[in-house]
Amino acid sequence: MAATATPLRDGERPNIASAAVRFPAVRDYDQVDREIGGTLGPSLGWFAALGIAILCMLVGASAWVYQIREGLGVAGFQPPVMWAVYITTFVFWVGIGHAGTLISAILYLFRAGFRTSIYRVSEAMTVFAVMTAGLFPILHLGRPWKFFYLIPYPNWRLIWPNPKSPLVWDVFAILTYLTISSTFLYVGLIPDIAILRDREKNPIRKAIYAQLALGWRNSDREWRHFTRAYLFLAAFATPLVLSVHSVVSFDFAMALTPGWHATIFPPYFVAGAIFSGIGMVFTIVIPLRKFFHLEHYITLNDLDAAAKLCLFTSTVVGLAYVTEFQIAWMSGNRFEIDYFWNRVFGQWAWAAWIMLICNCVLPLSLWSQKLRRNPTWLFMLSLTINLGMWFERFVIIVPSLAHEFEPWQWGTYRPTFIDYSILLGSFGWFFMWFLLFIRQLPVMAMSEIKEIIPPRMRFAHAGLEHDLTEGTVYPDDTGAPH
Amino acid sequence: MTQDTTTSGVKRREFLKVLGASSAAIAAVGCSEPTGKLIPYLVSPDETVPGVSTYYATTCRECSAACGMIAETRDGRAIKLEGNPEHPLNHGALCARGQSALQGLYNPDRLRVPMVNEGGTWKPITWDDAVARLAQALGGARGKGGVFINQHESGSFPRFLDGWLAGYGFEPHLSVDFEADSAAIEANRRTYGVAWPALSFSDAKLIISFGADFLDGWGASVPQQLDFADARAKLDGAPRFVYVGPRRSLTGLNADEWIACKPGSELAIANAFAGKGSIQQAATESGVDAAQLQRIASEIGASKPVLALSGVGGADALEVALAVAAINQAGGAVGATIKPAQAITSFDGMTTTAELLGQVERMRAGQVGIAFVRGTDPAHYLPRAIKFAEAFAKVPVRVSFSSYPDETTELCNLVIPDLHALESWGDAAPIRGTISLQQPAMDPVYPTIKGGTADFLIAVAKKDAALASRYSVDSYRTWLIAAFPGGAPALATALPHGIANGSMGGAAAAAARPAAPATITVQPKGTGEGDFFLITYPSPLLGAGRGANKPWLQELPDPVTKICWSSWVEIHPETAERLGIDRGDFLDVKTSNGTIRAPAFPYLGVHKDAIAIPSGQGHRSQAKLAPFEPKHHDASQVQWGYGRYARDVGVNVFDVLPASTNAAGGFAWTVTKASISKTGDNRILPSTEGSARQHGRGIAQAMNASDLTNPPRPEEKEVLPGDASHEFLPGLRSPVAADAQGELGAPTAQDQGTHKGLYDPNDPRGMTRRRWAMTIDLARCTGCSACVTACYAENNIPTVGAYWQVASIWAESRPGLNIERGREMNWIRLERYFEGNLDGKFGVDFETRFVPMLCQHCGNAPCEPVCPVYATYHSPDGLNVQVYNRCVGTRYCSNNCPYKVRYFNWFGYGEADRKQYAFPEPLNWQLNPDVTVRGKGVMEKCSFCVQRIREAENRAALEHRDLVPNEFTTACAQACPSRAITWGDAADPNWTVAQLAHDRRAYHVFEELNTYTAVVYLKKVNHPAAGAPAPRA
Amino acid sequence: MNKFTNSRSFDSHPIAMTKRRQWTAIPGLLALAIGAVMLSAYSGASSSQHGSPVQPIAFPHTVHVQKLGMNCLYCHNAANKSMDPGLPAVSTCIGCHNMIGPQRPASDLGPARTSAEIQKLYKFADVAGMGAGMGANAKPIPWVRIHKLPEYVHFPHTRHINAGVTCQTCHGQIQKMDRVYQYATLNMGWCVSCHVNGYSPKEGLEAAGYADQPTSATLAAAPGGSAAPVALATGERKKARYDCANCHY
Repeated sequence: MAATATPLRDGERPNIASAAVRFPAVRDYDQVDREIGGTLGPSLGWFAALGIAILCMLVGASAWVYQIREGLGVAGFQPPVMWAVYITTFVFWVGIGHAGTLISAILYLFRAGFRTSIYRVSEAMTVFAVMTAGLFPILHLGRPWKFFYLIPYPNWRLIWPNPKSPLVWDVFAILTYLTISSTFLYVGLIPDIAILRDREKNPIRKAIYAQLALGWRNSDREWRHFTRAYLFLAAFATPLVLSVHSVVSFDFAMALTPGWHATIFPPYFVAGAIFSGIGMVFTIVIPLRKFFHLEHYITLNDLDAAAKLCLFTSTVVGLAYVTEFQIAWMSGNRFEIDYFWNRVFGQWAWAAWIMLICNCVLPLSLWSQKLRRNPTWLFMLSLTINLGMWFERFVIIVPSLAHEFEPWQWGTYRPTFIDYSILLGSFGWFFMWFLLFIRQLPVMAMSEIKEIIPPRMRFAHAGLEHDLTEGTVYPDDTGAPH
Repeated sequence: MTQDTTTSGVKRREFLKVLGASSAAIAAVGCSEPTGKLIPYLVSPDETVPGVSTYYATTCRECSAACGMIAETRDGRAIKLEGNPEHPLNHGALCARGQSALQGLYNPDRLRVPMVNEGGTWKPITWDDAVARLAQALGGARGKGGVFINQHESGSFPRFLDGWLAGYGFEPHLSVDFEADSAAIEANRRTYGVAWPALSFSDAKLIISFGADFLDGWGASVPQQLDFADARAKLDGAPRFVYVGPRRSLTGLNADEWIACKPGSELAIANAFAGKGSIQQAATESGVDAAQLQRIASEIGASKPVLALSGVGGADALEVALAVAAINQAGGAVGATIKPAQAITSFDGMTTTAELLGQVERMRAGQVGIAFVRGTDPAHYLPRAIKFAEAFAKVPVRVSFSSYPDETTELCNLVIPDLHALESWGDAAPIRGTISLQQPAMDPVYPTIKGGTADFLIAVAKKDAALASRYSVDSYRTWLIAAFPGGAPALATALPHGIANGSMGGAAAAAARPAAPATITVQPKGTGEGDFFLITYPSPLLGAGRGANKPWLQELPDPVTKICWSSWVEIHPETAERLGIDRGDFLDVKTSNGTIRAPAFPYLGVHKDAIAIPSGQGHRSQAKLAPFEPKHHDASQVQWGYGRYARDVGVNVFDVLPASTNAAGGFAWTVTKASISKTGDNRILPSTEGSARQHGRGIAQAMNASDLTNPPRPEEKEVLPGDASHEFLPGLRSPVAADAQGELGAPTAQDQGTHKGLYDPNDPRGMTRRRWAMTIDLARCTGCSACVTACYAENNIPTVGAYWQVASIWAESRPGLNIERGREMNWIRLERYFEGNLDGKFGVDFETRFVPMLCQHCGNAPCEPVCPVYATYHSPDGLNVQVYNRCVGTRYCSNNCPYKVRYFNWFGYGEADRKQYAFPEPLNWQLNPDVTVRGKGVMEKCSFCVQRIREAENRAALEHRDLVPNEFTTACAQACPSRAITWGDAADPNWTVAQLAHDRRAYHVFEELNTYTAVVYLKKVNHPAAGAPAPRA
Repeated sequence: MNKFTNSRSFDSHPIAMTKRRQWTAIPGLLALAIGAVMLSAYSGASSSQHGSPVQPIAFPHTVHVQKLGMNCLYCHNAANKSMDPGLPAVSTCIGCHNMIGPQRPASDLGPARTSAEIQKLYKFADVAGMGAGMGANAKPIPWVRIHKLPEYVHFPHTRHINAGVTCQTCHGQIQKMDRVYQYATLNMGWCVSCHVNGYSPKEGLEAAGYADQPTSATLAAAPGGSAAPVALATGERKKARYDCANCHY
């Protein structure tokens, strides 16, 4: 699927943005099956992590049950701040969801080779992030048991949802995105599942894999259909990357509220989404490659390339911030001016500055190649990016509402332990699914990697068989175990 | 919402409960819950149709003024109180306190049975047992002296009472109104020969008030406010209003000019104005600029007739009042603005605080054998210095006729709960030559209470051989009918109007009463140690404490400070800054009599050398509380401390006051000095105020009276940046309204006649013709907040400030917590914006603008398009509708509402099984059956009283007619004692609102947002002193 | 080397493959089933229609309305002037029944018999015997409620009666019911459809079962019809308002 590898001259680093990527330390298909297949199956540490995730999820779940029973008042809402942590977290997770499709679909169409090793992870991340985000629109309702009013279905009331409302657009956007991205993930998995099915000894797991593999036989005919389908899905998912978060941004842009009512929001939100998504990819991939010893699959080259993308989106986001202030300043509209002044010097200044520093200042370090190729630094940076992006949404939502048109109703906001528990629960929920995923399904597209590694035939002739067993070290070898 | 009632022995009231329960609904209920039982009447009462209201004219007893009320009853239960339009005193208006009488009637902590205190434990007894016990006690007490302390009321009950007391050889009762201004009454007596002459503000050229808060409860507030608003609304030739005093009360905030004098220096100023003293001396004493005083003095001379009023709280109140009377006489007021001929007799026969203190001394001396208390609570409002409890304890027999478990009742040993005024017969004499009738609007809420105090006294007298003959009547009602001029037939014709001519001789008898011994202790100005004068004043809402057990009044923000469910200390920002005191810092206020602790509220309107604390809060109880669960309230359990809503809210300022009176024997509120110290802890005040400044957003606009006659000045219509200002046509131009209303919606429609709207052409009452709209005249609005309470009463709005209405787990719990979080539910709120004096310096005058803010029912409403489920939409008659049962609670509408007038049910305030339930039995009896009680998770807001619109339409349909212009109006407009609110159909020129909407002063709030609001504000009109700058819009 | 590297070896079992393909239908069907269940659960199909509880007294509308021709408004006397139709007080029953005792002679209403129901009534009303008034221990009759709208719906009976909507249009032909049951679904869609499509008094009479002689005379006799001020000759459909705030506030 990704283009085939081309031999490189010694000492030259491959142009990783192009298709020319290679895993010199990976020698044959068997090694791929062994190493990547080896990440499957439970382990003690995994159980521990899963336990913690489930615990966090349960905390959130019980908080939600309590909130439903008692009323939204248990959360920290203080009118006029009617939206707060829940919607913030909702937008946060939707944003996270975007990197996955970007990497797996857009970069695929652009033939960016470095996606090969990380796209499976980020795509799974996308699906689970959207699953998490999807909870919040229901969770923040005053009467969640009536959520179905939002869904258009024939009913005896003869009423339909309001097509003018951005929240209804949200419902469609999120559901569409969930459907497409999960389909995309699943289709990409089929050949790998087939491999697992064939390797699996345990009859039950084998049966399940067999179901999921949809009877994949690896025939040419199947591959032909498969590649076409995959290409089609990629093309189909690409516009979603832009549309979904644009729709989410309409929740704000369509409102009158100063600080929300801005035409720049759609591109601004999409850039922010991709930015935060890449951040989350780092947060997940870097520990992953360490624990599973996959350094020679997810090479520093790949991280380097992703970091460049991260740097780019960071600057886009920064530009958006500046533009917002500039528009407010030039509008001469006193509501806007008051609000943006209040944003950086008012009661919520600290949040605004966290946002600016984490999203615009710290990522500038990625101009340095040394830091781009330093996993530890990237990991720490990714954490601050996640924090910064969460606060970006917080700064957009809470201070705007707290400082609206009517001075008499200016207010503030103090979250309660319920807000925190549900925030925590959302992370628990996300990582629960993710942990379940990485031990049941391959975290990398085995079949795609097999395409890139040198064909066996190259070594199979001329009696160089032994090279394989002893292992050859290439001069431009990156990230391979020595 | 369930309707389970036992099939056996269901009484009529039970049935009513069922009916009420079935109509007062929960939005969150599904459609297929068990339907329950239908319990019919045994015998259906005459003249009532189930589901249709019956109206009874009666008299308000919440203060001494005795306004006329119409009690609306539905299926046998009073659900709403409105002013009686025929009544000569209040002409249909009613204040917040009057409307809250309902919550006294349905108070969950009302005493339900007679009780006797034996060895410190209270035990319920039967009515007859109580009669027997009192009769026996009286036998023993004869000759030992008996004191009857009664809440002052005019009418014939005082006469009846004195007669009864005389029967046992006791002297006449004490008729106490602690909040009344005895000094003014005494001065009036001496000057005009009547206790309270009628005041005419509209005839005055200049109004000058020396601390007389005639909008806060001084005198007869409602008629005064009506007349004041009329005067100010004259626009051309309206009187200027100057307020002299150390603290700017609500009345003061309505003044054009404030002379911020030192406490106690009013006398010097009054004398100067009366020409009895020099301006210079006044200036030095009061710390006011001599030039300003000179200007006012000359203004007084120039503008006749003047209306000068005095209501200072100092010990020299009488002297000030007399000096002010001199100003009036010089200013040609008598006969013009002060009309002794049409005297208000509500205050006749009132005894002074001094007389009360005299009796307390007699008790202390053990000269009193039996004491009765009814409707008043001296143990709460008499300063601790007097040690009332100690003196009272010396009386062997202490009988209380209180309906509520107040502090005095707790000290008694026999309690016979009185019937509420809405359950009993009576009369009042508000104006000379008129009788205001009081009739029961419903059966007693608690049948265990067999009759009112009067009925009880009659029953007791029957036990006495000597008196039995004199009290042959079976009940007080019979006694009244006999006393009524013209007897039963005349009464029958008068009752529907609630008012009759003539007199029942009550007032006369009371006036003829020999004065009781009085203890007059006039304290010198500023006794005690401390850097600050301690200004105390009766809260305009809670009075000296009477209102504290009514959640409506607790939840209603103070008109001046906008704080509720709390006490506070007002301190000038300049002083606060000097002492490093922030808003909400708890201060220890120390006088020579004690210390109280309350949060600080920096307030521009208080003298920099003074602090001010209102009375009314701080109901506490020494008695131990049995464990008490607000959700499941045990009827037999008594909540000492004036009930659950009053207990432990704020502090009682009387704890630190000395026992001081003025020369007239009235209580002296402002005599002592105090020192303040920070305690270190700070709390967010339970206040509804966000920012007290408009930040130039043109919400409350004003103009100068002089400009009304000139051509419009540019700043008169100051446009905000980006403002496209429209020539006004209420909402009908709006795209959305046009859409909802079909072609008729568009003003340019050629085919106005032919109908293209959403509705059927055959329907003669097609809604599409209508555009319900409202005008609010800021020149009339005084900020009294009566409209807010009216809205609570009409629309089943829950109060959310009680200390238990919070989350169950790990939640703080204190009164007003939900208010601190901005979760109040007031559909209509009074915004109070300060103009001028931005840096809060003392001595710089400032202006106050009150804006009633409610749903603007935008023709182009921002909230409508964002609702995902059409829970809010635009109705064809121009309403912005909220459909509770469709709402899922995304709260997006509130985010998008520029006016922030949407309120969310954070808890199950309306669900009886929830801890946060706002209507504990029997408060829920008051719920309006026509309005859905909202469940949790639902957005709600002002509906323009859509239930009243529908009701009127139904009535019109039943009578096969069209709506008559001004046929009905909303609750707020009906209640408004200033007549500032006008409501109606703006699309029909015959409605008053349609004409007012095109007034020169008309403007929309945030017009530049193109919301096409249906609420039109008329600019406030200022009357600045000559040469003062024009206010900014 | 090993079979993974050339998976072609699987080509030898085509049948097995097709079987596997069939299994793959299972998840899809499962999803469909769940969807269907959800939809039916939320479609509001659940309604208390046809509910017919046993009443403490088996009051025969058949006799009172059908045979004796009493007007609905005689007992439900508020229906044409209030939101609330009104429920007859026990005294209303006794008003006639203290003359009409349990001992029923033979008449066009049936052969001579002892009416157990009237005896029950006497027990509730604490009536000693014929001619005697209600006693001190009279108890109201705990009728079981049949028609109930959710409390957030405000249904003005007066508007409908005065628009010529006969009682039977919504309540069914009560005069023919031995035991009253809920005739209509009382779902919102049911209300709205009538408000939108309109209603003609003619239909009202048909619904009432009095359509045979649609003259104003018989209309006067028609239960609930008496107050209808509308001309009946035309079958013209009268539409009504149907925006939310007419009933929900």
